[in-house]
Amino acid sequence: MKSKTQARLTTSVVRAIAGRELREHLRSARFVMILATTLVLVVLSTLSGVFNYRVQVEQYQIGVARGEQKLKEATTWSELQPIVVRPTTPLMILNAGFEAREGRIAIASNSQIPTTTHDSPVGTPYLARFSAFDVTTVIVYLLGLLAILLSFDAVSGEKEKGTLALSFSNALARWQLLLGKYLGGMLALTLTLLMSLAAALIVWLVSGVGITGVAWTRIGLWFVSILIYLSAMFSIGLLISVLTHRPAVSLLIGMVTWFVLVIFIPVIASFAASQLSRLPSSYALEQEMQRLSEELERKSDEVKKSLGTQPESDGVSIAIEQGISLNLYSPEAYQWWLKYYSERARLERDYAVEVYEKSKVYLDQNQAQAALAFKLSSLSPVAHLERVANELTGTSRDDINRFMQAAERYRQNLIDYTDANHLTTSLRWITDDPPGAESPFPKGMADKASDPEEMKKMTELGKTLYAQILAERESGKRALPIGDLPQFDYRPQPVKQALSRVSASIIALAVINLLCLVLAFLKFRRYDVR
Amino acid sequence: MLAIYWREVRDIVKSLRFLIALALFLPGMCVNGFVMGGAYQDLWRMHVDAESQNEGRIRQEATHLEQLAIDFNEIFGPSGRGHVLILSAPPPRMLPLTTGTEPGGFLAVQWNFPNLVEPADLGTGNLELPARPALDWEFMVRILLSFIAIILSYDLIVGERERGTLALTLAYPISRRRVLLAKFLAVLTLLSWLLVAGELLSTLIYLARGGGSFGAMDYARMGLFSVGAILYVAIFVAVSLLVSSRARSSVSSLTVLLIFWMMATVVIPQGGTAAVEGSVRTISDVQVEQRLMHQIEDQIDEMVGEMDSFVRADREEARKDAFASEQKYAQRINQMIATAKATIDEQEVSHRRQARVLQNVMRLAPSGLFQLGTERLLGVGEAREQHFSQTIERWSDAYASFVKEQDIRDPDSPHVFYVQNYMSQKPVDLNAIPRFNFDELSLTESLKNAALDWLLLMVELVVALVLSLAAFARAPVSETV
Repeated sequence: MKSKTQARLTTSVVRAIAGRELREHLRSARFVMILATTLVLVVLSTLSGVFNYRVQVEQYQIGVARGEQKLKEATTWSELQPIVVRPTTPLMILNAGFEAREGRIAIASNSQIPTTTHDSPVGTPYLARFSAFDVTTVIVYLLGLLAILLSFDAVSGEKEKGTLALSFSNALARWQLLLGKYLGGMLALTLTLLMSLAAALIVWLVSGVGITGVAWTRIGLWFVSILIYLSAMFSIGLLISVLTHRPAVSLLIGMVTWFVLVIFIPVIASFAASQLSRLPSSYALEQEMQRLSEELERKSDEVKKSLGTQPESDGVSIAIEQGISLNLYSPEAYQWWLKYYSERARLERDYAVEVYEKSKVYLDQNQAQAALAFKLSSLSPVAHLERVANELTGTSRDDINRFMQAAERYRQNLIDYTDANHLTTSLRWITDDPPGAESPFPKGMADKASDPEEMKKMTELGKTLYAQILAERESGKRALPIGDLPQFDYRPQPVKQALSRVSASIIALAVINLLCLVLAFLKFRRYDVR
Repeated sequence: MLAIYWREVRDIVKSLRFLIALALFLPGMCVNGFVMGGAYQDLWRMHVDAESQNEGRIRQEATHLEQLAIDFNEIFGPSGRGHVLILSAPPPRMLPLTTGTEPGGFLAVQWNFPNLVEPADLGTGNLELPARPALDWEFMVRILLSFIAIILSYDLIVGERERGTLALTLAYPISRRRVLLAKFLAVLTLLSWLLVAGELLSTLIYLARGGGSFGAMDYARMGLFSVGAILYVAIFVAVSLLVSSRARSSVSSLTVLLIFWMMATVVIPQGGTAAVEGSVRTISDVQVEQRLMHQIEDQIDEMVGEMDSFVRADREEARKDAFASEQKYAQRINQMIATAKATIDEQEVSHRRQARVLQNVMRLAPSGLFQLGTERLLGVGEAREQHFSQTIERWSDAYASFVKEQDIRDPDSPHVFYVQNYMSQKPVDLNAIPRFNFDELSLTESLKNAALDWLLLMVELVVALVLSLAAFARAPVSETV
C-alpha cells in the first residue's frame, strides 16, 4: 500500500518536473527561433521534394509507355527487348535518399544482363553542388541542434542559477529530476517534430500528391526513428550537462559535439573512404567494355565467314527508309541468316556474362567503399539515422539494387522462355515474314540495277510491298504471340524486411541513447549541486 | 593596444577551445592532402589514358580524309565503330583547394564529328555513397574555420564582463575602438596561423602522395585564396564581437551566434537551393528526350519523302546527277544536328537561368559569396565547365575547317561533306590534324570573374566591423542586475 502511494507520488513529481521543463522550453527564445526556421525550411524542402517527385513520376510514365510501345511494335523475337521500369515512391518527398540518383529503366535483352539502369538520372546539374536538403536533413540538422540546446544546461544551468540545490530541498530523488528533465525535453522535441511533419504533410497533400495506406505505416516508422535520433542527441546533451559545471562550457562542448557528429564525421568518412578503399578507373572499365564489344563483332564476322558465301538475296538492295530494307529473301538466304543470327545469339549471351562479371566486380568495389564509409561514420548517430530512414522510406541504395536484381531475374526468365520455345533457332527470331513467302522481285535483279527503267520499276514495287508490310504491322497481323511471356515481378521491399535490414543501426541508436542516459544518471548521483 | 592583443592571443592559445580547433582543423587538412593527392593521381591517369587512346584512334583510323568526317550511323544508332573521341581536361591544379561542382573533379565528354557533344560517364563518383560535399580547403574554411572563429570569439567581451575584468581592460589608456580592434586582430591572427599551418600540412601530404606540382601562379592563387578565407572568417569574428558586446551572458551569446552561423553557412544556401529548385522551372531531360525524338522522326519522314532513292554506294554513278540527292541528304543531316543542338541548348539556357537565380540567392549569405568567389578565383566549377565547353567548340570549328580545307584541295573529291563516299579519299598528314588541348583559365580572367563576390564580401566585413565597433562603444561594462 505504501509503495503504491510512493510510486504515485514519484510519478506526479516527475510529471510536474517534466511539465515545468516543457513550459520553460516552449517559452525560450532558442526554441522559438529554431522552431520557426525549421518550419520554414521544412515547407521549402517539401516543395522541392514534390517538384523532384513529379519529375521522377514523369520519367517513370515515359518509361512505362515506351516499354508498352516496344512490346507492341516488336515483330521478331530478337527485337523483343522488354523495358522494365523502377516504380517511384512519394516518400522521397520526406526523404530523398538515393531515389533520384539513379535512372529508372532497365532493359532485359539477350545481349545484356542489367546491372545498372539504362537511363541516367534526371536532374539539374547546377544544383548538384548541394546534397539533397530534404525534410529528414532539415530535421537532422536543426532539431538535432535543438535537442542539444535544450539539454546542455539542464543540470549545469540550474547549478549556476543556484536553483539546483533548491530542487533537492524537498526530498526529491536525483534520478527523478533528471528523468523529469529528459521527459520534458523530449516532449518539446516531439511537439516540434509533430509540427514539422504536419507542415510537410500539408504542403504535400495540398500539392495533390496522394498518400496510400502502406505509406502511412512507413511515415509512422520514419517518425519514430527520428524520435530515437533526437533522443540520442538529447541524451548526449544531458550527459555533457552532467559532466560540466558551467553552462558556457557545456554549450561549447555540446556545440562542438553537434558539429562533429552531424557535419564533420559524415563528410570526412565518405571523403577518406574514397582513397582508403580505391576504385579501379572507370575509364579503364569503359575501355574493357569497348574491347569486349569489339571482340563480339570480330567473332560474329568469323561466324559469317565460316558459313560460306551468302546466298543471293532478292530485294535487299532496295532500301525504302534509313535502316529498313525489305526482308524478302530466298529460302536459302533465310536459312543462312538464321544460322548466323542463332550463332550470334549464343555469342551475345557469352558476351553478356563477361560484361556482367566485369561490371559486377566494379560494383562490388563500389559497395565495399560505401560500406567502409559507413563504418568510418558509425560513431555518428546521423549515419545510422540516415540508413534507417532510407530503408524505411524505400529510398535506399538497397532498393535500387533490389530492383536491378529483379530485372536480372526477369532477364533470366526470358532466356529460359526463349530456350524452352527454341526461339533463337526459329525463323521468327529474325523475320516477321510469313513462312514460305516468295520474293516478288525477279531473280538476279542486282545486275539490272544500272538500268534506270528497271530501277524505277523495282523501286515502285518495293514501295508498294513495304507499304503493305507496314499496314500489316500496324494492324497487328504480324504481332508476336507474347501472351505467355514471363511477366516482370518487382515489389518494393516490405516494411518488415526493411526493419530487419537496419536492426543493427536501430540498436546502435538505442545503445547511444542508453549509454548516455545511464552515464548521466550515474554521474549525476555524485554531482556537486552547490 | 599591443598589450591587449598579446594577452588575448596568449589566453586563446591556452584555452581548451583552441585545442578543439587544432584537433578538428589540422587532421581534417591532413586527410584532405592524403585523399586529394591520390585523387589527383587517379584523375591524371584517366586523362592521360584518354589522350593516348585518342592519339591511337587518330593514327589508326584517319587513313584518309573521309574517315575524319564521320558516318552518321552514330546519330541514328550505334554502329559499333564510331569515331568517338573522349575529350578530357587534366585534373584542376587547385584540386585540394576546391573540386568545384564536378563530383569527381573530372571534365570529360564524348565528342563525335561534327560537334556532337555528350557527357562521358566517367568519374561520376561512387553512386553507392550518399551525396556529400568534398572535404576541400574551401569546405574546411567555409564550414569549419567559420565555426572555429565563433567558438574562439563568442565570449571575448561578454566573458570579461561576466568575470568582471572588462572595466580593468577598459582602464588601459586607449580608446574602446582600439580595444575591440586588438581583440579582433588577435583572433584573426590565430585563425591565420591555423589556416596556414593546415594549408602547409595539406600541401606537403598532397605533394608526397603524388598530387600535381604547383607553379608560381598556383602559389599566387593559393595566397589569394588564403587572403579571401581570412576575409571571410573575419566577418564571423566581427559578428561575434558584435553579439558579444550586447549579450547578457556568454551562453546566450554563443546560442545566438550558432544560430547565425547555421543561417549563414547551411540554412540560407541550402534552403535557397530548395526554394529555387521548387520554383524556378527548367526543361527536364525527359522533355528534351521527347522533343528530340519527335524532331528526328519528323526530319526522317521529310527526308524519306524527298528522296526517290537512297544514297547510292557507287561513287561514279552518283557523280552523274551532280549529287543533287546527296547534297540534300547532307543538308538534312546538318539541319537535324542544328535542331537537336538548339533543343539541347534551350535546356542548357534554362539550367543557366536557374543557376543564376541560385547564385543570387546564395549571395545572400557570406558563405555563398565565399564559395562562389573561391570557385571563380581558382578557375574551377561553373567557370571552368564553361571554359571547357568553349574550348571544345573552338577546337571543333578548327577541326571542321581543317577537314574542309583538305577536302577542297582534292580535285577528285565530290565535296559532299559528312557523307560517306562523297569526300576526299586522299591520305591525311596525321601531324597536321588539330589536337584538342585544354588550357586553364588565366589568373587575370579568374580575378575578373571573382571580383564582384570578393567585393561584396569585403563590404559585408566592413559593415559587420562598423556595427561591432558601434555596439562595443555603448556596451555595458558590468553585468546589469
